[in-house]
Amino acid sequence: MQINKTIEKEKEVIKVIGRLDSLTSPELEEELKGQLEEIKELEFDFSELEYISSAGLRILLSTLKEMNHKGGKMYLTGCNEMILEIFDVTGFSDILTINK
Amino acid sequence: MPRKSIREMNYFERLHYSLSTKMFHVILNFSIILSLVAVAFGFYLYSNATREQYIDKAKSLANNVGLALDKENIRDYVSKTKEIYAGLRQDVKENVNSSAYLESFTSLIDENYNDIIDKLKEYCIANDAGNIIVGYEIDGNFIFIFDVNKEGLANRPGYTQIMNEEEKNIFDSIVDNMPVILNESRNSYSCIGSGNIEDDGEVIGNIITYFSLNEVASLSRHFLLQYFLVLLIVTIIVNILIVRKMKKTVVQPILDLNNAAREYISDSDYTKMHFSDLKIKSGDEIESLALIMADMEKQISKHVANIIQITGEKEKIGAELNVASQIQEGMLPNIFPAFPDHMEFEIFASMYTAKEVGGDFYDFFLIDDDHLAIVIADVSGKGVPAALFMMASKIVINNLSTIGINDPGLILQEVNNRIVKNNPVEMFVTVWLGILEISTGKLKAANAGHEYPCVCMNDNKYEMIKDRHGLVIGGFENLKYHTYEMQLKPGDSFFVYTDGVPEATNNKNELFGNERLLNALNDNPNYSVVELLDHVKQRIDEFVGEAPRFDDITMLALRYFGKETNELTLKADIENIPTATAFVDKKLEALNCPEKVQRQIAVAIDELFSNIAKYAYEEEGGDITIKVDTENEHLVAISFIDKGKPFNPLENKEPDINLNAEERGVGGLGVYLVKKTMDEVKYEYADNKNILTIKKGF
Repeated sequence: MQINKTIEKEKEVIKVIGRLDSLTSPELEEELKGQLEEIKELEFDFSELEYISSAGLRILLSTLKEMNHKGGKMYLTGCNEMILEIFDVTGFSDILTINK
Repeated sequence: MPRKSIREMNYFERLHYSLSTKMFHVILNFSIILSLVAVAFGFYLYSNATREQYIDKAKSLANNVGLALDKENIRDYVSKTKEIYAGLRQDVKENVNSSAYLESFTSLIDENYNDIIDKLKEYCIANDAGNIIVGYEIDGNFIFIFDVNKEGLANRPGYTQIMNEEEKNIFDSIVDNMPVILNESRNSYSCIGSGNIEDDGEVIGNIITYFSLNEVASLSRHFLLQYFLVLLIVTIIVNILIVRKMKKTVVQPILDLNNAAREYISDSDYTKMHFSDLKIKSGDEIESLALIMADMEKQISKHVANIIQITGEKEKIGAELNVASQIQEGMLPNIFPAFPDHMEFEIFASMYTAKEVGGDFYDFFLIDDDHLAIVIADVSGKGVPAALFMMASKIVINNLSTIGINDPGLILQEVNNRIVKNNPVEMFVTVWLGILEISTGKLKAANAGHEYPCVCMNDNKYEMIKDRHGLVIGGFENLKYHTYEMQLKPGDSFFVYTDGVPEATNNKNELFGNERLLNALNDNPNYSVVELLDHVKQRIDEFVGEAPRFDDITMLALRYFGKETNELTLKADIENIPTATAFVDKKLEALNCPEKVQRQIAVAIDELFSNIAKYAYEEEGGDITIKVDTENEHLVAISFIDKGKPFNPLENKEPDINLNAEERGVGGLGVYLVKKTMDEVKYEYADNKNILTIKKGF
């Protein structure tokens, strides 16, 4: 997995390339830990993400909570069909903002 | 402001550079000045000469008259005049030249007086004189006795010239025999000469000759005007002729050069000659300049033609290199997965060339059903020679590997002997050749001067094998190469590469090196071979940064899964998830399973494998066996078997997926996801083993 970050003022875009699973999720978690204080808008670019497992969902959930607490925005872009299906099945579609 | 280039100037901006106008002005000014000087000097000389001439004339006439007159007569007349003057009444004397005054002198006129008048008149006519006067000075006044012009008597005798101070001075000079030019009024000149009438050294009377210079002055003015006009016309004509001549001999050639140069810079066609066509035959520096320019033009044209040709050739070579590069790439096996029918191993290779064509190569091919040959090699040098040598080496190695020797050392020995025989330029190639016995995992290999291979066999960690190196191939004949053996267990892998990997250099001139390579490999030794090579390449790129790349980077990795089997046992560690996924993927690929299903299954493996790794075993850990059963072409069953404490994850409470974000947790989400995406999920506990089976159709 590879993570590319771009920060522009209060907006951060995190592009995750490859797979977001048990093995790679800690890497993303490490990347996000304590890094979001200044951020008001957070975008996850999943256009090159192959798949996501529950370990990845756990991070999305905790990050969403953090952003919600401080009144920031968080949304996902470029999700493939299979990832969207996982969000549907797990009810994450209802709590995440997913931009087509 | 920077000066404009001649290209940017319009006609008027260029005009003040016109040489002929400039030259005309210079010559005209110069000749006008010259004419004026000539006129002034000429006039000075002319008028001086005229003056001298008249002065001489006046003087000699006075002298001649003085000699010609009868002295006794004159003495007589002078004394008579003195007497008359002395006898004048005071009132008459004061009223000079009145009729009474002049009447008193009438007695001077007698027969002799008229003869003298006639004689003087003849002198007047003969000498073209204005007046001839004979008189005497009495009481500071000059009294005329005879005053004659060409007509005869001009003033009656006794006419008296009363002299003021100035006239007295003039008179004194005349008396001293020094003729003067008088400027009587503006533009009226006269010359007065004088002579004395002497008798035995005694001055008995004065003679004054008078010439009017008015005519002479007007003549000289006339002359001056004509002289000036003629000079001016001649000057202008000469000027025009000079300018014409100069235009022809100097200006025109320069203009021609100028025009040729302007055409030259505005013409993009460098093969067209501009200077060479000029016909300048001035025989001076301009002709020489034209010849030099023509030479220069030819040289530039030649160079441009050369450059065009070279560029064309370069383009051609570039295109050919491009094709060569494609041919070279085409020679290397580059369809992956390379052996979809062989479940026993996975292999992947990649090559990044620094130039269009390079000297690195890899190769792998089945010698027979049970033997796979793996080659990685690096030819000395770069570019086209290296590429040609690489092609030859690859073919020789391939040919000799497939004849059934199956001993890499012997094969390399034979390869070396063949290449040495046909190696006129003494290039060489380093080769690592391995032959894998697919059924047993036995790997025989030999190394001809190539980089040490990295193997991942024990402790799930890549190590560098310092294998015994033979000499490079292509150097000397009859070299021996040592064959060594390694036994690969299922899950073991090896990585071979060319020197471009450890010798990749960053901006600080540091080498990537073996240590960084091993670290990159061990970042996750369980990566699939594709991931592994991508990862190493990524690490190299990070290290090298913006520094230029000089060497090809070629890598090859093989992981052995063992004799074709549907089971893989791994340590229950999430680190092994990629290995498990790769193992299952290979089975799925063989079934042409759709990518989406493969990913769903990968997620399921991730969830279930990580569950077992986290919860099934206590501290001491244990194994997980993955078993893949193909029920038919479109249905696969995958079992996860562990020997941990009995635990049925399916009995866990299902998460409420309708809660809002705040209330949501992630417990049980993984198993729930598996249940939802798989067609069937089954748990059983048998033989002290937890067996969780998922089924998915496609």
